[in-house]
Amino acid sequence: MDTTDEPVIASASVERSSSSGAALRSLGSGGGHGTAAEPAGGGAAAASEEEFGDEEDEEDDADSVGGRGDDNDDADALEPSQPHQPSDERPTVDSATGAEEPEAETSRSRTVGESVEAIEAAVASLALKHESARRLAAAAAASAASAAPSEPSAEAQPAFARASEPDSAAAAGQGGDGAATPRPPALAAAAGIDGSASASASGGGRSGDADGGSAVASTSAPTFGDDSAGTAWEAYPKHFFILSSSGKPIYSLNGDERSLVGLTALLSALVSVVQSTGDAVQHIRSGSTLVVFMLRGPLYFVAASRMGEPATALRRQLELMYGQMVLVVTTGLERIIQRNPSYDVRSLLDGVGSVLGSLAAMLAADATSYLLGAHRPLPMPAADRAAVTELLAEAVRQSGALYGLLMADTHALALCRAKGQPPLAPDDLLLLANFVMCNNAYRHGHGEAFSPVCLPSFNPDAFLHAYIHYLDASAGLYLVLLSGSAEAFHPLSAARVWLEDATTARGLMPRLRALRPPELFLEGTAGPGTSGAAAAAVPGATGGAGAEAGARPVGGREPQPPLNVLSVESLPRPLGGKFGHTPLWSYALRYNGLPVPQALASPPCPLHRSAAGAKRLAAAYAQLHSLLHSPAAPGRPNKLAWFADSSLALCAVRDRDLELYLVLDPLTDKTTGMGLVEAMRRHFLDRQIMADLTLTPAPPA
Amino acid sequence: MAMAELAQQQTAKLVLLGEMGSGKSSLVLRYVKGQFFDYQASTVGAAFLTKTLPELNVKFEIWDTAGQERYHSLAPMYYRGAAAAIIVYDITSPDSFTRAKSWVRELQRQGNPNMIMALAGNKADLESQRAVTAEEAQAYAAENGLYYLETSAKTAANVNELFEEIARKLPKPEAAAPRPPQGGIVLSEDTQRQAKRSTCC
Ligand SMILES: Nc1nc2c(ncn2[C@@H]2O[C@H](COP(=O)(O)OP(=O)(O)OP(=O)(O)O)[C@@H](O)[C@H]2O)c(=O)[nH]1
Ligand SMILES: [Mg+2]
Repeated sequence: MDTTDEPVIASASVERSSSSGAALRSLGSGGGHGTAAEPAGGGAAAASEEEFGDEEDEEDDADSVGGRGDDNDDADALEPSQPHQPSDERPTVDSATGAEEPEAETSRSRTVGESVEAIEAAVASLALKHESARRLAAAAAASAASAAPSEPSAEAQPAFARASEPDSAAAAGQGGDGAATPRPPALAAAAGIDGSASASASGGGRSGDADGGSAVASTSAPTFGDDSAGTAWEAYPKHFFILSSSGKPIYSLNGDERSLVGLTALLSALVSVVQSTGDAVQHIRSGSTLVVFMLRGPLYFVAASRMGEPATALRRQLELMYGQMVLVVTTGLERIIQRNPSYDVRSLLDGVGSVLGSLAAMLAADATSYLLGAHRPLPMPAADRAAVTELLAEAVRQSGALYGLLMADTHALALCRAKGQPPLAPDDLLLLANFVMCNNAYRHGHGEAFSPVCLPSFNPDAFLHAYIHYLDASAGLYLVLLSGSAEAFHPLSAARVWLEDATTARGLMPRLRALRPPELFLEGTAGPGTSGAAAAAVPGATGGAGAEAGARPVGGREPQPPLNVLSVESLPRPLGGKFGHTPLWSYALRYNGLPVPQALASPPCPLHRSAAGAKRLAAAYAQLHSLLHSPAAPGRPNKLAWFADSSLALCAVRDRDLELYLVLDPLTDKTTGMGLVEAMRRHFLDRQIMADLTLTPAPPA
Repeated sequence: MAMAELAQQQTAKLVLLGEMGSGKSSLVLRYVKGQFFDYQASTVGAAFLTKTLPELNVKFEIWDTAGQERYHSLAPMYYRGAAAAIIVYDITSPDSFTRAKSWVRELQRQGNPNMIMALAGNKADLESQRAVTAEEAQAYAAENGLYYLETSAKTAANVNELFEEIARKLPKPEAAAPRPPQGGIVLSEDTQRQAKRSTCC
């Protein structure tokens, strides 16, 4: 899942046709499910199966050790604390350190203007798209490096959980030499108006950085803040964009590509510089903005965030953005670009923008949707779930489908697969759910929909064919049957009719319709972004709390969300209680011990029931997750993470059975926190409780 | 009469093709459900709808395809075996008219040779933004043996007429012989080859 994978992905693309259009077309017939599935899929799938000592953790380890060894971090960007951003006593240690120091020091006298010019020269030469131009760019940027004023030490600010934040994970890479040796990473240091930026480059074991020298590529950050680029940049706390290796913007989340030209140019220059040394830039910090890069074949994925999310979380988000793009177009797009870098692929990306936009909104509003790498069941009475799972399995069998999914928004009611198929990867499920949810033609039932979709973890090179049908639009309840055949529509349609009839005949339908997925507080919407009213109500399981069957008008859910089994209010003492009467605000958990991990989260507490609140909560979970998964020493996973500041307290624990993430009121002390953890464990590992909360293992189809 | 003719109800596969945004989904939704949306989501892949015309004893199985270019490769699956095709363009967009012509060419080359083809100049309500004249389209349609109509999914103008005219032009199940070649439209007995049944298992 690192840059070292790139060549593998590239080489896996087999070209059978000569025209760009045809290459994508040929995907319709479905490429083989060969080794090509492994590398790209690995990234997404790994998250679900991650063990304590997994690859990502190892990267993290290497880095945190390296970072800690380097106390001298003048050239580093130190993260100014944000109003809502938790901070602790540990200083930010980004990757730029050590060996590069003297150069940065001596260069203070150079002016910022010169470095801007240097970058512009780099960018101009980039436009030539030649290898020699790349070197030119490198040279230009390197000269800019010496121009970078390095003043960040003056504003050394404590940054949240830095010691274990794996931001600069990739900086140390996974190179052969012991992780305990601090390795001076390739450096791109930059100082900006509002702070400073530093970039780290992945060692990847193949750069010439064994001697600690490596490239010094540095630039000035004013590009971020100047008139042309600054407006759009500052207007959004979060940005995603995709550009091709020839520097062409392909996608921009906030749609304002023109005002991003300056930034795009800067980023391609940086990417180009580091690439020319055999590395890939991983991230840059500029003031409170963290910019993370990811290279996938010929495409650069970039995230820039002022939300306070750690780099690991942004990187996960980029992986999902990439996966989402693959879901719609397969990796055929990359092949086209690889063959013909100047081809304007945007004509093939019609409609992709809105899918990416809605994914970005979801990721920003709910970190538990993607961080935990697990299936996310919607709670419902175990007997109902078992019954509907059995029917779904029968529908899959009847229709010859590969998979059957019964979903409520992004949450699963039942999942089934044909014999011999691997379990669906949680990321694939999330991406598919987003794809379905963001096209209102599905929801409004404009005919029976049959759409090609590519599940990146399953096979990134080929389409499956999805029969998508909403059982209840207002409940966000829908069925997806996935087939390998483009001709499977009629059997899938027949199986759906059968399933609906059978579900109705058994009296299950009204109970399914009464379920409500948790609401999402998305940016740009006054209220909840989903169809669903209020939180996951479980009729039966909560004594008929969700009994108001059928669609309720939007206004109906304003006053009081129905109590649901996951809400803090409905938990037993000492966990549960009204907001303010218990230290517990929110929680998320992951069942590690199940065949496929499953995750749950409470509905947000009143503080987080808004788009801004949801983002704060998401950032807090992201930090906490990063904290837990960044052990101090390789192979010695953190079992516990604790953090508190004036705005909240965070606590996470994990063991074989369970991973727990608690968001607590800031006055909570550690002892109380640990008491809550114990109570949580007791509650959620109770067999009867678990029965309603987790997916039924599918009967053999 | 009812019983006898119900028994021989004719099922006809009908496919809509045309540039993204020309209004294929809107036409179908107007016709089948009487609905129209100003913000109609772009179709991904295809959507399937049915509509029965009892008076003509025809059941349409309608495939509303995606205009997005990357799904072009899937189109043959939908027009293969179709009794009729509606090629839609947007009268305010010359590009969409060009695209419509290339669909016609593709169907002439690769489609069922006896397929009934209709050309629909949609968004006729946007007269002030018209960029393709009715004369030009009419002339093109006559040349290529297409049934031509200007429609508006928004106002419903000519929508029923479009589908009903196609239904009327379908060859009668048991009376394949008489084929009035009116308007250059070629009829076919092939179309009796019914699409797979969609709802029984
Ligand atoms: N004014 C006007 N707008 C229309 C008409 N028909 C469709 N539209 C609008 O045009 C846009 C595109 O319509 P669609 O029906 O989605 O077009 P489509 O051909 O199905 O597009 P794809 O599914 O992407 O291939 C929508 O915003 C419709 O509201 C019409 O007759 N008049
Ligand atoms: Mg459409």
